[in-house]
Amino acid sequence: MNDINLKELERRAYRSTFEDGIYDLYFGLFLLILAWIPVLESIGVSRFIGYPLLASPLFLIWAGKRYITIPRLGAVEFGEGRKKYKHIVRLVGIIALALMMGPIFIIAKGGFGGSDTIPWIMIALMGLPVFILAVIYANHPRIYIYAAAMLFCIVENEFLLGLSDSPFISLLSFGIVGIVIFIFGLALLIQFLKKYPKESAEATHVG
Amino acid sequence: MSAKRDTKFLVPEVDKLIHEPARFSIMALLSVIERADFLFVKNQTGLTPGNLSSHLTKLETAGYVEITKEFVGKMPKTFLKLSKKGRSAFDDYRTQMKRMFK
Repeated sequence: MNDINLKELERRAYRSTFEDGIYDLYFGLFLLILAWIPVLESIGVSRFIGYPLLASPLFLIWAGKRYITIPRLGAVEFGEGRKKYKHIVRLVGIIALALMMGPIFIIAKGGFGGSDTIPWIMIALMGLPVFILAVIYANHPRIYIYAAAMLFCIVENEFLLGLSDSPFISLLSFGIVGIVIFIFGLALLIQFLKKYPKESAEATHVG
Repeated sequence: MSAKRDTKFLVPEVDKLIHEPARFSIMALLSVIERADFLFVKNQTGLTPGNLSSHLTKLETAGYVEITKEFVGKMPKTFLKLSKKGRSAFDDYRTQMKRMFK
């Protein structure tokens, strides 16, 4: 009855939108693509094809929410606070994407003195605030864990690359964690489909 | 005898329309979100479609809930939102209940 319980109710309603495992599948797929990019590069596929592929799992979120979650769980719009934060994340994301065009142009032109390390670091630094804001916006313990796992994978990958420059290193550092998260996401999705079967039209609205 | 009565324990003061558990669940849920469709409210409250529908009719008649119908693709969807009157009535109800249990 008190404010704390209402906050808890809002949080429970919000977190129910994560029961579908769609974000888990997204993170898993993102890490798996990240794992395969160096392997693809080693067989001659340009990183300008590999890295844009990282955006493709975003389609999974859109399609999954539209065709799986909403017809089963229902549609909900949360309060002003969450909406405002969502707009901030979008705005920062668009600004970061626009700023990234500079380093991408430098890489396309051959980098600084033949090296593209600095432009890639610039891209990573521009993407980091968007990533952090998006994780905070998600406001879910599982997403915090995935974000920490992702950062751990990056550190682990750099460490292993110091020992060997094999393109298969990324399969080890990103791939294993990616598979684990992806499988967990699939399990959540199956559980969600069982818990929320698709309702008849009569059960979804007032006649 | 004091002229001003202590209404702390007067249950009739409480809005009985909200006091009913199912309607309280609907009002509480709608008070923490902007709006939701019928299916979401049904899943969150655990009510059957018929039961939810009948409680919503009562809340709509009282002016506590706004019900709008929209087509998403070819599917009709019923969206539910707490009205200003409903929000104020729910706040009053909470205040009264807190006062009773103080």
